[in-house]
Amino acid sequence: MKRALMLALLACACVREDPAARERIVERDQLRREVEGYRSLRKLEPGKLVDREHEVLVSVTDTLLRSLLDASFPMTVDLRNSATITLTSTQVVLRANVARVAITGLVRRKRYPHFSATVTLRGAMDNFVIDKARGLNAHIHIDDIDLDTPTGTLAAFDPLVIAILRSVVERSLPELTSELPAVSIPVSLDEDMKLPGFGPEGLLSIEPSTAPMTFEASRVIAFQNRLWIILHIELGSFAAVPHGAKP
Amino acid sequence: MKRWIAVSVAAVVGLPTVALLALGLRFRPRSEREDPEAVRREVAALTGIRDSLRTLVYAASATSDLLDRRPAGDVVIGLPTKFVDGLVRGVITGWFHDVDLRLPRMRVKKDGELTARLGILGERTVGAYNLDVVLDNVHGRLQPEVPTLSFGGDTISISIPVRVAAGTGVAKVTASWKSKGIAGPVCGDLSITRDVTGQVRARTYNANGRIVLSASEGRINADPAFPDLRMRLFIDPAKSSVAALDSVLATKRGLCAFAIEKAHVSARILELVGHGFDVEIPQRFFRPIRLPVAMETLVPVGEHQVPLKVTPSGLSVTAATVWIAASVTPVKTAVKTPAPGRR
Repeated sequence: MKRALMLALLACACVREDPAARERIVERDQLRREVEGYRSLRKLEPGKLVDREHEVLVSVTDTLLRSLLDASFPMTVDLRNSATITLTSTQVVLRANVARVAITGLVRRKRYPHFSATVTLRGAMDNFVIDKARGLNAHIHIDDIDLDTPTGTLAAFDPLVIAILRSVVERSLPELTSELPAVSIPVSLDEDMKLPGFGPEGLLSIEPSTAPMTFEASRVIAFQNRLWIILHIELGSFAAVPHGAKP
Repeated sequence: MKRWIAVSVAAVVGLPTVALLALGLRFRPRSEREDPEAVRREVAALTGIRDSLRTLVYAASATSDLLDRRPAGDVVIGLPTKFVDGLVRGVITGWFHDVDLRLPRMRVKKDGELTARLGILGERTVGAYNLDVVLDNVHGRLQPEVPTLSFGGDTISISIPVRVAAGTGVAKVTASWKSKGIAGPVCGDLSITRDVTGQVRARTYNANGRIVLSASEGRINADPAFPDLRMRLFIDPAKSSVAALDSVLATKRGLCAFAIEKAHVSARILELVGHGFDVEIPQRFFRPIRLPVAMETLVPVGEHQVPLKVTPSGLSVTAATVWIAASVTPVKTAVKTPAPGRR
């Protein structure tokens, strides 16, 4: 019996992860993202970062983004019916052209034996799109999962518990990512430019007109603790609004 | 018996061990799936590349005039001046390109006495004339041309050439003649009224003003402020109308004709109308433009709408950028209704 326990501990020791090695991998992944971001900026000619005739800048602080994300927590997501993850808070760091996001919470196994661990989902904001219903928003892409401080089992089984929960979370990443709230940038964009008419009494008279506007998030840059979103805007042709219709 | 015990022990100890090892292999951490030395080398290489690229990008951003005098705020919107310039031009040339102008009634008068050398009688007053021109029903077109905008010092100056074109008008001309002296009994008094049609003379005026930017409820409004646009409108009377007037005057004969001829009535009418008419176009001629990007006061978060408190914190205009900034804080109470769509 003693021998069996020793072997079990040995097995657990086998899955114990080197934290430094893990951190290096996370750092490597983040560096890859940063370098990719900087390279995309360097591709642009000097002074061509913004097309000044058709693009505008929208910038938000990491503090605001964090508080907007925090407003959607706590939230609980079911992971393939085998565990639940409850996300409670977030951290946003905007530097080196990466909008890094770390969301912390608790992952709990639903089946017996019940055990849980604190979880940190590390990733970045990407896929900035302009949605008619939701405006300018971004999605969170998860790169890495960090688990710590397991509860519900003997300390000796911590590495095993972490490994099992990590596997559950990693396998459920697509569902988990889709459940994460979109980050809405608090900026409103007009779909068209409406100009009022005046007259016919008085000196001057002109018909009310409207021109369509199209928006597209063309580039996103994160630096100096701010997220800079470059929006491409095109103003269409003005057309008179028929009498009786509101411009 | 011993063999059976050995098998049992092997099963009791071995099977869990194999199971644990299998589990360990199955849930092997990511760091053990990669060569640590290769990861370390890649981190070192990527750090060097990242640092050099960062230096270049930061140097480029530091030397860009685009970010000068950016106000502080949780949300900052920067509109390059070329964008604003293009937008204002688009509005003026696209929407405001042809405005119907209808002028109010205008009136000009001229009167005077006329003297003539009457032989041995010498220089004598022969009569007094009175010209009254009422300009009514003048229609024209105002056609703003491409404006020139200049940015800086927190203001936007604007100069717009405005062309007055293709207008017509009708002038009601009343010419009165009151004979005096020896002409009185012969000539008598005379008063005629005729409509003289004319063409508004095409001319370009410069409207100079500025665009006042203001922020309200997170929006930027660009409100053109011009002093009232004063213009002197010229009307060229149609030759046929003047000829009709002359023909009425030409019915007079003798001394009377001599006096009227001396009065140069039609020439004086032309001169009077030729001075032009002062017209004042109110400054509301140019309408405020609402810029298309603004701060939002309600954002969707999950299934809720979170109200935001938006407090303007800065508005500045540099030679390169028009900035609006606001401090934004989510208000704690979320509105528990599905997002109906944004403003």
